[in-house]
Amino acid sequence: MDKDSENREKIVVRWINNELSPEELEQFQQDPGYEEYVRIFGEVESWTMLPLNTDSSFQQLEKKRDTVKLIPWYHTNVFKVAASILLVCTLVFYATYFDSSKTVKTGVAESKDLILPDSSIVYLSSSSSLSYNEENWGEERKLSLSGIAYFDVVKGGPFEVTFSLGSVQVVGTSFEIKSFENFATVTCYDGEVSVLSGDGKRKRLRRGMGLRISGRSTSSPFAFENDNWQKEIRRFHEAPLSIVFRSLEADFDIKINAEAVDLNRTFTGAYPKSSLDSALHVISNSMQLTFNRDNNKITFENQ
Amino acid sequence: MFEATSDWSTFMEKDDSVCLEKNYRDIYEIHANGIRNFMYYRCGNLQKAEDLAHETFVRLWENCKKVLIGKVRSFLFTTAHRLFLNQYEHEKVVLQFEKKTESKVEKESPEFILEEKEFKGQLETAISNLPEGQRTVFLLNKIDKMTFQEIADMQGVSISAVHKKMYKAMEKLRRDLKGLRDNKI
Repeated sequence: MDKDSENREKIVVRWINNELSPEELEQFQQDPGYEEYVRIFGEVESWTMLPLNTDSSFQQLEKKRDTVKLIPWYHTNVFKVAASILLVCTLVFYATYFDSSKTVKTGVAESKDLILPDSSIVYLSSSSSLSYNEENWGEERKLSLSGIAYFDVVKGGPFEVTFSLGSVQVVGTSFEIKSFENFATVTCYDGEVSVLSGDGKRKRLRRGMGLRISGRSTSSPFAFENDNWQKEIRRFHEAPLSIVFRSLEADFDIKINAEAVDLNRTFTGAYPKSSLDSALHVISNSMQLTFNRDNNKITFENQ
Repeated sequence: MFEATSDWSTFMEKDDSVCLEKNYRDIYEIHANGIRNFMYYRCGNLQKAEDLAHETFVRLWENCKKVLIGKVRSFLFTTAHRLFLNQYEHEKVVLQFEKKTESKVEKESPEFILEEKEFKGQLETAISNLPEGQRTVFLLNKIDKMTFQEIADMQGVSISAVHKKMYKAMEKLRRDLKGLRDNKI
């Protein structure tokens, strides 16, 4: 836009706003457009809009307004967020507990006998948890275990138990798994089992044989005395003391303080699950320890 | 242009709350006409214009807790402006206006009356043919007596942009009216 037309725009706008001085107005009246502007404005100013009938119009508005009224509660952001969280929680809950997978847990000093859908038997020891899928049990016999359990498996398809450090596959047999975070033993009581440890190695265990998995290393199979462990006696073979103490705590509902003791030393032997005193004596004697008992608090120290 | 208050007092319905039915009704009485006109200048259809005005007031009701009563006018025009932009293509419009009744017709000659009538129709056509932005500024200023500053605030543009639109509108009207007259002859 050139300068003249810019100046003219200013004059015109000021004229519309009634801001021109008498001299400026006189000059503007000479403008070739002036007459036409006056005529246009004179005409437009005689116009009006048909007024809105606010009464009937407001009634229409009320109808429209009340059909939408306020945002329904289920459209609010708070609800959406809450619903999302609830949905996620529900999915996690179902994935964890249902989806036809069943989990059995035992508390401290509690053990459970379970019968699996194929009538295999599991003796689940204290502070352990076992989960398996009931629905497709006929297709695959898979369980996952943390803690200690004895299995008496009826003949059938592959039977696989997964624990943190490996898995055991059997056809029909009975065996025991002790599974902790860094240490596990598998002992075979009857038939034959195949153990796959986390490092990818597979070992076969015959009746009366067991093996240990400790971290990434797997021991050679060793022989053990076959007895009915799960009822009376807890048996260990070169198990770290930390594991032995964990078992004691679980079996007798006690708290063990063994800060002064080297927990990496290994224990081979057994303690009776019927008597805490006998168990404490067996372990302390064979490991050259002393213990103090204050109700359910036990403190071990080196002799 | 309008402020949302966030303190707890927004949850109490004070005497001047827009959420009170009585206040809402008063606001409608005061502003509905202006909003309807604004929409009419833009879309050229009275029924559509009223629908848009209703929609604007529904938005006000939905936001009644957030809009302070002093900011209602600004909220309404801004909302109407946006609703229009969202909904309507720039269609060709044909605007018509009523004559105010206080005319001094008696003394005029029949020729003059005819000429006046003709001029009204020509001007209506010329205004309808203005680009939408120029048309709206021109009519809001001349019919609804809104100042250029008010129009600028409502549309969220600078006052000089509004001046420019007004000036362009007047120049185009002048040219088009001349064209209409010349064609007739």
